[in-house]
Amino acid sequence: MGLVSWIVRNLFSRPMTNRFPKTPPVPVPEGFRGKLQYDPEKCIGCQLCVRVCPTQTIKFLPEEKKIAFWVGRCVFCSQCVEVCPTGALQMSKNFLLASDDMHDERYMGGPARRRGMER
Amino acid sequence: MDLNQLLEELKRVSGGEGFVQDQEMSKTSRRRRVWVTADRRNFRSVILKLVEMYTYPQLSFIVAQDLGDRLQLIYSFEVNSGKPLEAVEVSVKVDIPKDDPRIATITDMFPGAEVYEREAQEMIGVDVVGLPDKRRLLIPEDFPEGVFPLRLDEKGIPPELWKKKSPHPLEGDGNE
Amino acid sequence: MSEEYRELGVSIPIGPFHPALKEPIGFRIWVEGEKIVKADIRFGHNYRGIELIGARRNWIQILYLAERICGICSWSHQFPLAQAIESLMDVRPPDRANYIRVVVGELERIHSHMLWLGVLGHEIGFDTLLHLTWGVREKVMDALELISGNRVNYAMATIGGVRRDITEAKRDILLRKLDDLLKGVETLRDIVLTHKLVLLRTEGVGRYDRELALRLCLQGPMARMCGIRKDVRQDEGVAAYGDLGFRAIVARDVVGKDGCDAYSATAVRVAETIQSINLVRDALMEMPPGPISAFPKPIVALTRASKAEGEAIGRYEAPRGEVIHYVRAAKSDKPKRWKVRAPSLINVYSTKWVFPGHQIADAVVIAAQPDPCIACTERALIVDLDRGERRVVDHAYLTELSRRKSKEVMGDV
Ligand code: SF4
Ligand code: SF4
Repeated sequence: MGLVSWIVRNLFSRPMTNRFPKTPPVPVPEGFRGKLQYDPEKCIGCQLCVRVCPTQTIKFLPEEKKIAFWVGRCVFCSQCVEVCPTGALQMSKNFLLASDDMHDERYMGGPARRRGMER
Repeated sequence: MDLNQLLEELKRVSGGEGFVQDQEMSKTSRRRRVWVTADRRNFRSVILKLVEMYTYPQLSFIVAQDLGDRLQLIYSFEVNSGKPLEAVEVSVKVDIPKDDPRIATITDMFPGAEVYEREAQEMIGVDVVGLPDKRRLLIPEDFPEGVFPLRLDEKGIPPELWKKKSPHPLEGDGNE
Repeated sequence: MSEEYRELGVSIPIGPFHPALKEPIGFRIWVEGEKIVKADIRFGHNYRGIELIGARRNWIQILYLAERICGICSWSHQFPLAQAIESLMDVRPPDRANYIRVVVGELERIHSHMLWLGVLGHEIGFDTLLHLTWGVREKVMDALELISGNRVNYAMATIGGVRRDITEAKRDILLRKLDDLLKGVETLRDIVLTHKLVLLRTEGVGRYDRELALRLCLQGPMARMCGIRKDVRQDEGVAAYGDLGFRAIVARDVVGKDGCDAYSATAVRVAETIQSINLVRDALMEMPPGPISAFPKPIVALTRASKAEGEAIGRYEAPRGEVIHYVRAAKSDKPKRWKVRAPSLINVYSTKWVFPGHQIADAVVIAAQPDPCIACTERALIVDLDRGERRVVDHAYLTELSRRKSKEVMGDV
């Protein structure tokens, strides 16, 4: 196939990319790392996730023996999910996280006691 | 050449210590490293010895570090490059006292070393004698004079230059 | 401005913004008429002090910091660091992990080389090539997404192995994708290596001397285009490359001679892309069963690494050349010193010796030759000291200049 025939064929084929946000997003693959999900019921307060998180996203709350996190810092490495012994942390498929407010409700996880939320 | 033989040869020239790392990585390949210490006065002859023994060892990098009581430069060379599964990384460690941080350049043997020596010079404050271009390389011109980012003593980054606050809306942020 | 600048006449800074690399670059070239007489390179416009930050993180955390040194070579920085830590602990990863490491590393190489080819096309005014290569590149990104879950920053390497397995089902999809990819890349190779415009704008441009390349210790495709058969994958056989019998490609294997110029660099990179596709296929076919990591959980690796002591070096051949990580440990969960050497540091710095003698319009090609993502260059400033005139021009102007030359040389033929 030469250069010209490739170009001509491309004229009649669909674009390579998806016109998001005009069209719905492409489905994410299995194993996609999106926003962190936390189930405080299952958490035993072992702090392993705090130790391995590269960005200090997760904070330990000593009184409740639970954790709180702010997704604004998360780099979606899923290291915390891997070490959590009880499966209290999971990665969701949600990647629509853009916002102009860093105190956005969607970024916060875990029991309340966050400075940003009390404004 | 056998790793231990190579080490002995280099130790003879430098008069220093050294050891060999030889670890298995996969079924066929091994990770081969030779570490040897040299004196500030004779490290160039160790490097010359390498150049003699292997036509053009490849200069990999120069590590500049602060060991507390002294500074250290590690000149690391890849020898046997181009021979499948035979490469050896030879690292020559040179100690430099803090009160007289001078060391000779190797840019006459390896012109490409200029970039690493310029980096070492601004990062831990060694004075590379004979370096053709002594300007700063990585840190900006308006960074204070006499502050060396990777020094661990009073010449390192003073506390007031550290960024203290991070935009973390949770309580008890470790960076505070 | 100093006397020296005045003597040399007109100077043109290109740069300094290059957010894509650890080393954002400011080129400054001195010209006499159209001819470049001297060049200087200024790094550090985006210096982030990553080595210092790394000394404040533990062994697991630092892996993800290393991954973010570069957006394109995220595997190529995480992997040598993981290797260096393995060397400290004297741990050998299981065989299956080694094969998966080859798959991820080679897929990354394909997408990086495709990106570079597109950028080269753009710089010489051959935008059709840009669109076609980046179209092909999408398939690689899909493959990486399939394996790791995300398109960039795969978070695949860990101490003692990899984090995700390639299942049978995924393997079959990957093999199908690779056939598609191979067809696309082979067509691209036939187009690029024979196209008149590419030949005219790259042959003889950015020509190194083989001796100079050896003494400067150039890395990666820049060394191989000069006929120096040097590749960490071959020399040290990292991961499973030794088991797969990998051999490096130099320019004379592809185009018959070592041109040491931008054309040879193109030829080497295109040939390596095809080699990488075959390597991925071999690795997928020959992958042995077994565990994918020497440690069941990262926290075990962290505990073990915290007991390690000494120094170690990890090496890997990134798409642009050899990446080396040095770590020193002293029985703590943090490294005492972490040093990263990226190949672009020397490859880009070496252009200083190559600029003189070329035309201004070739500057963009020379700067793009070592693959520093020159497309990210934001603006340039032209200072004409004779006339005391200052003009701010953007990258578009320089590209325009390069394109005008392309039109002219095409008109001559
Ligand atoms: S995914 Fe990674 S960065 Fe995000 S909270 Fe978990 S460990 Fe931290
Ligand atoms: S690792 Fe899991 S159980 Fe332990 S503190 Fe974190 S969320 Fe809770």
